[in-house]
Order: sequence, then structure tokens, then C-alpha cells
Amino acid sequence: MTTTVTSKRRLRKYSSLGSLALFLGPALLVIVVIRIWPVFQGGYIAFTRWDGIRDPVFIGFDNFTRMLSDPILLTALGNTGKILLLAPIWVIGPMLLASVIQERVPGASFFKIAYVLPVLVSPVVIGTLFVIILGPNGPLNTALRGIGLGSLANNWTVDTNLVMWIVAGMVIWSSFGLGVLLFTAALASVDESLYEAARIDGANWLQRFWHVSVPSVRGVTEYWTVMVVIMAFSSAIVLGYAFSQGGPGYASTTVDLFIYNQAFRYGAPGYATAVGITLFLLIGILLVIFLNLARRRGELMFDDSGTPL
Amino acid sequence: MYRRRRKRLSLGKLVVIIVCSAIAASTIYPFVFMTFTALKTSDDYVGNKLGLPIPPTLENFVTAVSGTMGISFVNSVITVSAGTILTVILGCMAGFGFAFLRFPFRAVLLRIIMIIMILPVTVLIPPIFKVILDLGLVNTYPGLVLLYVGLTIPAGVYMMATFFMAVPKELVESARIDGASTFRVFREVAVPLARPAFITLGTFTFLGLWNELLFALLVMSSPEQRTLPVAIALLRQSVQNPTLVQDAIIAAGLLLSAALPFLLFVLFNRQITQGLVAGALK
Repeated sequence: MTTTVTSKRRLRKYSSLGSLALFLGPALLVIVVIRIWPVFQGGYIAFTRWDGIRDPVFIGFDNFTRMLSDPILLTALGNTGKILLLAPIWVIGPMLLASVIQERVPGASFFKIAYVLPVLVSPVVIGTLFVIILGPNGPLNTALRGIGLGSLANNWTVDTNLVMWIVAGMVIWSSFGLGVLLFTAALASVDESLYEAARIDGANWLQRFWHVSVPSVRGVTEYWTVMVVIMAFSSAIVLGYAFSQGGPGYASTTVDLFIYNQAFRYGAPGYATAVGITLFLLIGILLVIFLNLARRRGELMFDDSGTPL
Repeated sequence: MYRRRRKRLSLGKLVVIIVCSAIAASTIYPFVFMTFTALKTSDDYVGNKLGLPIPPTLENFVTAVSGTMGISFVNSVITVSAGTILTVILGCMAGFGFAFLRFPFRAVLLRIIMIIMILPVTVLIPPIFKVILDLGLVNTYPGLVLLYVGLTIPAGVYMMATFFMAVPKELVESARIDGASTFRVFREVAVPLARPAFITLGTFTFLGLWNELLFALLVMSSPEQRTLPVAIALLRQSVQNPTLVQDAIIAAGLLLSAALPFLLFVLFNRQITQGLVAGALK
């Protein structure tokens, strides 16, 4: 890009090694040790039998063949799939809410604060709080009985058919406020005259939303969709852990919790690493493809005029 | 014509207000319930689950803190503060480096850091834990702090880099002409400029780490080293068939954990919102 064009004429092309090491060294070292090295080491461990204590022993593709015929892993993937199934609501809901509180409702800032509360709190707190609220004699059942709807009272935390949907609901409940914040910030920068023009053309609210708001916030919609997919794979783990420990049975074990439990509860960290690395690479490849498709946006511009420091 | 339109709009508006308020109630009420429960005696809670805490009592907090939860609170403050401070310092230095120093593959490197920032960590917990194991840092504060910096530093670098890139280059150039060294430019020009970004990054990082459970659960296994989220998770699990009696004490523990994020949000509302939104908007 501009780097080569402007710097060719300069005497000194790059900054001194000393200042590069001083400023970038520490941060890059931590990133390499904690974020990059585990990917490579994990790539090796995936091909070994490792119990977490003794040195890993090379076993070829055994972990991967085990993966293909593991019914529990299939259940866990299905549970994560249930969260992904709700992704459309998770994307469109915040967009609609943001648009609505921005232009139609008084007290937009109140709603933004209310919606973001669960985002601020630890998922451990949320999971545990809902164990209390949804407990057999907890406030929800008490309230249901109190208003004569006792037949709806349920043992929510141990209902095999419901528990995963409750966890999925908590995942969305605890993050949709972030989406509302993103979309309100994006909508605030949309040119007001576009709405004015649409209004003059006789467009109703829904038409203005669809033809002006939605295209204007496309960049944020893409970003939020990526976040939603990533969160589906990574934010159910703590909620599920605190709410139901992945149970009853494996009914609320999502794939990230599966990896954690295999590694640290069932003593198979080697197998867990194989599953984790596979998933990580799949998500990584999808992300890179997506970022390249969306490349027109988010390209950082380096200003390379003048002599480098 | 005009009248009819106005009337229809206001009906639609009413429905919208009701829906928005119902959703707001769903996010506010659980925390109100949590606070009320924490302020009730256990007996009071069993008999009166939904009502106001009259008279309010602090005995649940005393019980919670006099267990191991008091120590856990202190542990959380120590490790999370250390992680946050290091992330802000290292992130600021590296962000400055990306914006003002020149080196090969700079754009590619920053892009890789952004991708690392977005990709989920949870699926890689076993191999990441192995690093701490191999370094012999299990059950040590430095081990957890190193992990914490590792979790938050990609976002720190990226956030500070984008911040410094938006700074007018002339500010730095003029200091150069005065013959200042790179480090002096950093200390005397960049750091004072970046003060608002420090608060954004700092609060954002602190919140994320304050709420972290999984690594703390692995690295700090002995009771006197536990962080607050770990203490809460274990408190809950230690009671396999929880009776309602413990719920009031658990609620007090939850409030201890949630109070700080809420307080930070009251104090730094704008900065936290900025931090949360930072990745998406440029």
C-alpha cells in the first residue's frame, strides 16, 4: 500500500530495533505465549494421548476417529446448534430494539442502561441467580402458584427437554444489550436527511427501517453477526456450568463445556484438545474468509509521512 | 388526515413502549430480586420471597464474607487490578508502536492481533492451561495475572493502536523536531494524550477480568487463593440439594460480585459504552 511508495525515498526505512523491542516486545511476547503457542502445541497434543500429568504420547489420528463416533460430542454440538438456531432473533432483536428506542420512545438512555445490565455482570452470577429464581420452590414457581397458574410451575433446572433452551435464553438475555448499544451507536450516525427524504416520500416506519436503517448499519450488522456466532461457541460455557453443570446428563452441555469437562473432569485433556483445536481452526477459517469478504470496511490506514521514530 | 395519522402513530407508540418496558423489566427485576433477597434474613426469605426486605439486614453479607468469600474478594481485586494495569501499560506501548513506529508486516501483524482478539478462547482452555503448567505457575498469582494479560492484551493493543492512529501526526512530529527521543515522545506526548483511552480500556478490561471464572478455577485451586467468581460457583455446588435457607446468603455473594461492575458503570458509563462498542465502529 502506501508504505512502499512513500518510504522508498527515505534514508531510514524502519524504526530502530531497540525501540521496536521496547514498545512492541512485551505485548507481543505475552500474545505469543498465551494465545499463539497453545494453538501450535495444541495441534501437536491433538495427535497424542495426554492425561494432563505425564508427557503426551503420540497416537496418530485416534482422537479424531474417536471424535467421529462420540455420541456425547454429538449431543454437545446439537446443544450449541440450538443456540445458533436462535441467532436470527439475537441479531434482529437488538437491531429492532435499537431502532425503536432511538426514534419512537422517550427515555432512550434509560432503556439502553436497562438492557446493558446483564452484560456487565459475571455469567457465574447470572447462572446462579437463575438457579435461585427458577428453583422448585423459587420465586417464579411461587409467583405462578400465587396467581393461580400453579400448573405451569415446573422443576425448570432439571427438565431435560427445557434446560438447554433456558441456557440458550440466558446466553441471549445476557448479551443482547451489547447489540442494542452497537446498533444505537451506528444508527446515531445515519444521516437524518435520509429519513426525512423517506418520510416525504410517504414511507411508514417499517419501510424506513427496512430501506434506510438496515442498509445504513450493514457494517455493524456484519460485526454483530460474527460476535453472535462466536458467543454461541464461547459464552454458554460459564452459564451452563453455573446453572446446571451441563446436566441433567448432558442435556445442557454445549461443545465448549464438553471440552472443559473432558479435560478437567473426565481426565481426557488430550482428546479435549483435539476437539478444541478442530473447532478453533474451523471457526478461524470461517472468520478469515468472512473478514476478506468484508474487507472494503475496517481497513486501517497507516500514515507513513515523515521520518519514522 | 393529519389527525388520523397522529392517532395511529401514538397507538403504535404505546405498544412499542410496552414491549420495550417489558424487556427492560426482564433485565432489571432479577437484579432487584437479588438485592432484596440479599437483604432479608433466611427465615424472612422463605416466608416472603417476592416482597420488600423489611427490615433490611446485613447478616447475609457478614456470613458470606466471614467464610472464604472475603478472601476471595481480596484475591479478585489483586489479580484483576494487576491484570488491568499491565494490559493498559503494555497495550498503550504496543499501540503507540503500531501507530508511530515503522516495521515490516505491520498491517498484517495488527490484523492477526485483531483476529486473535475475536476468536473464542474457551475452546482452547486445555492447551492454554498447559502453558501455565509447563511454566510452573499453577497456584501462583503471577500465573493467573499472566493468563489475564494474555486474555485482554489483544484487545488492548488493538484499541490503543486505533486510538493513536487517529491522533494528528503533527503533535508527534513537532516533538521530534525538538530532538526528543522515541521514549520521551511516548512519555511526554502520547501518554498524556491517551488518558481518556486509558479509562475506556481500563474499565473495559477490569470488567471482563472481574467476571472471569474458568481460568481462575483451574489456576487458583487452593481455597485461600480463590477469586470471587470461583467462590460463588463452588458455594453453589457445595450445596447439592440447596434448601431455600442458603439462597439469601448466596444472593449476598452474588451482590458482592455484581456491585462493582454496576458501580463502575455508574461512574464510567460513557467510557464503558465506548469500550463495548469500540471494535464495531470506526
